[in-house]
Amino acid sequence: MSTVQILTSDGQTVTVDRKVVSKAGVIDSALASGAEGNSPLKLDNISASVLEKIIEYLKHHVDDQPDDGEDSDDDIDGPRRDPIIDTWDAKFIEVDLELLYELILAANYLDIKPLLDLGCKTVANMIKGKTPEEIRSHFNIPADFTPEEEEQIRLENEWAEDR
Amino acid sequence: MPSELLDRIVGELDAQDVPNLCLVNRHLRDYVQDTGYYKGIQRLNTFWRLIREANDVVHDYKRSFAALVPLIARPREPGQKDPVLESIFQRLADRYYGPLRPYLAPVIRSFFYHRILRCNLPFLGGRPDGHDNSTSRDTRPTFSGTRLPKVDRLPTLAESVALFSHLGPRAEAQARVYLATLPDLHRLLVRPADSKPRLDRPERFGRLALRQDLVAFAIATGHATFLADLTFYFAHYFDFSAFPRVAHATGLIPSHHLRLAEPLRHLQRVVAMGYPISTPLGPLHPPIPVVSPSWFWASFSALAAHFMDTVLIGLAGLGNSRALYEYERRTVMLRRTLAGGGVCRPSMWHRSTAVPVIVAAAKGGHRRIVEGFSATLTPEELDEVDRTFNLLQLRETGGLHPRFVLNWQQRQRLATLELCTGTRILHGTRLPGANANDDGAYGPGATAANNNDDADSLAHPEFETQAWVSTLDIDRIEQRYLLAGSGNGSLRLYDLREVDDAHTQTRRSPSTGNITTPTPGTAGRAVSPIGEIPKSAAHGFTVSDIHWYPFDTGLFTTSSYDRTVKVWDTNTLQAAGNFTLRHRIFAHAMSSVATHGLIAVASGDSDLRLCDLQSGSFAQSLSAHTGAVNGMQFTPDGLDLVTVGADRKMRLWDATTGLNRLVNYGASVPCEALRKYDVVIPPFSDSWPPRVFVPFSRTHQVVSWDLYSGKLLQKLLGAFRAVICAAWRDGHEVS
Repeated sequence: MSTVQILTSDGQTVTVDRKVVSKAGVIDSALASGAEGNSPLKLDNISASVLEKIIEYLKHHVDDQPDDGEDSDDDIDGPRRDPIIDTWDAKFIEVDLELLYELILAANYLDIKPLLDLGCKTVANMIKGKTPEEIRSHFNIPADFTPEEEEQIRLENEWAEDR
Repeated sequence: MPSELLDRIVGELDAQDVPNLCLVNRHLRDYVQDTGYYKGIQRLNTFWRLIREANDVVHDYKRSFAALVPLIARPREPGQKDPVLESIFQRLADRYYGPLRPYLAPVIRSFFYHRILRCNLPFLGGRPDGHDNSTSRDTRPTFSGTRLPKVDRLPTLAESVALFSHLGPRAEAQARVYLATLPDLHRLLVRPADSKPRLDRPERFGRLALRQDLVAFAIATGHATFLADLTFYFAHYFDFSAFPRVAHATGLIPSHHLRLAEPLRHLQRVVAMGYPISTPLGPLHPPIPVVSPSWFWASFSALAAHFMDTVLIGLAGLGNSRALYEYERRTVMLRRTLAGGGVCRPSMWHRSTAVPVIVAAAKGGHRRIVEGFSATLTPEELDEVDRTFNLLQLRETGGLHPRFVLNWQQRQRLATLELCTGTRILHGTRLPGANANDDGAYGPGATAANNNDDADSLAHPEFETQAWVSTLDIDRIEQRYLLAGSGNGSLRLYDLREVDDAHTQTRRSPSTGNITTPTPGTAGRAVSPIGEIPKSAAHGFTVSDIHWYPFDTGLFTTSSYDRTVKVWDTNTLQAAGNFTLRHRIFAHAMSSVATHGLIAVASGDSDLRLCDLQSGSFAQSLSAHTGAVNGMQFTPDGLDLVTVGADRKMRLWDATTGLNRLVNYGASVPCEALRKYDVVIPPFSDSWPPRVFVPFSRTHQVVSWDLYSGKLLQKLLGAFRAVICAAWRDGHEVS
């Protein structure tokens, strides 16, 4: 089985199975377009630790059937996705926020749709049902509203509460 | 975090979480406020604010409704307006669009419910009963405990008129127009009390269609409130829940979600019988002309809600022509008429709010030639119209088997030698090539070019003139010469100046006084092509793509499903070169800057072939996709090449080196192997960042990407069927 060398942003070279890594759309198309075999693929914005995590994910899902994107065409308003997360995935994604963020960015860049969905779902689950204060403290977001502004927004959104 | 990732995360959230998100920090607030979601909220906010104004005291909207009911139900003179309510309805009707429709619909429904019930019409079963949840098994949508009434019998004519009059003066006027001009409506509204609604069986659907036409017309005239009233009314007339297609239309929303491709026979009857179609501002100027004694479909574009200045009305014949009428909404003046031939079902339009692209699509997969026309009919033809309608009416009411009508149609065609793609429908009804392309609004495809009249086509053994047009190109130097490739493989060359001249002359014609109704025969002079290459010399199958040589009009190139690319000398109309490939060819293109004379050809093969004009040989092939290459286009600067392939990828190639630029346009481009896809790249001067648009037939949308970053910019939704082509309107900047 052929392998691929990948040069990460912190200068490390990682060797992986081609079959595993071709799940990532960008790498796949780079390989498909016949990049010369010997020079390692350079991924500028992905560090070795993140890549390692991604490869772990890809290895676990290497035999999954690709989702051919049918779902996104069904409904004009966008499909309502299933919020349930597979157990292995749930364990996999139990990481600190920093890494989670990196993972989502990397999944987006590398075009790994299931991982991207997983990351986004995880973040969405964190947000769901929380008050703004809880969201802020969970994600360490500083509040930058003045009380007047906050009141204004609350007023605008008033109708949406109590339904 | 980039906004497309935020999009994904927010997409996973529930509606209740979004307001909380706004409160987290400025960045998130700004983000949410930019989304369509928030725009929906803002509209709702306006709505609630109006309700608050209406009752001043109560903030809770549920209670405000309770407070509003007596206000609405208060007896008042018929036709007297309540300014607050009027403004609410008006704003709702005008503005409502967005993902919050499900939340809003029951609210609006409740509104109209109260509004109609204040008429206290006996057939509606009495007055509203605010909090009675007793024994009813009525499962139709309810709002805050209010049970919708059971309609236990059908209204009488007097009740119907009273109902309309309670809906306001405009609706009343409308109703009177209908009642005066449409005996059928009368028949519909006033049915014997003992006759049961016959909509319990799907095959009776035809009757329902008769109502949908009113709905559609209400939209077309910008009468969104009337539409909502009507829909409500009909929703209670019959239980629509058994009819998914109609239930769809009872959401009360004049949005483009509403499937309007229902037959609109009334309108045609009105048109055919010479009745004026009235609008609140008076009749349409000029009225929609009689276009054919054939069976017509019509569909209205639901654009009124978005483009308050434009009303589009479309008519499509059964297998024959299509026409699109664009009226200025406020003055009801006809702006332009576009018509075309070809086998098609009702057409669709999509116009995004942000991008001035119009997509006209039809079943059959090809761009149509479009031309303006108008007509008056002779008494004999009117008779025929009448006969046709009697028949069709029988068919609608279930008196005739559909197959009978179909057979009859076919017999008629044979009797009159009217082929499916025929010119019969356009006989004597054409302005001589009224040029619909005056300002290019409908893209390069929107140009007059239909050809001979009936006598010629009958004399012609192959009926070549009746082939539909599959592809068009106008020369870039003078914008004067139009090339048309046809579905049967022949090619034609037109001089558009002749079209312009003829058009001007007709406009000046003093004989009729009405510019759109010149008498047939005198003004029906068709524009004939200045050059023609018959099928035998041109292509065996449909011409898939045609292009002028970018630098002068001495040459043009054509490609066809017969697997050949041909180069033509314009002056002699002889083939100057011929390339035969192994697969059917979907598109070809030449760089507008390079002088190397290479034609890039996209075919069923996975490679992109380069044909060298100078040597007449294949220069090179680029391994582009793993399946067929279904569409391609050079960027306007000629430096890059975009291809779409059946392997569901879109790729950007460096045109000079032939290397993949590795732009990632996303995982899945919904491309099918056997179709041709238009790739539209606007001039860079028009849009920045550079965009690329591709219409996808399967998903009914036009997708636009940032050309160089691959970022998905927009999906233009709203078409109900396959979108098969797109055109860029020059000179409009995308904001």
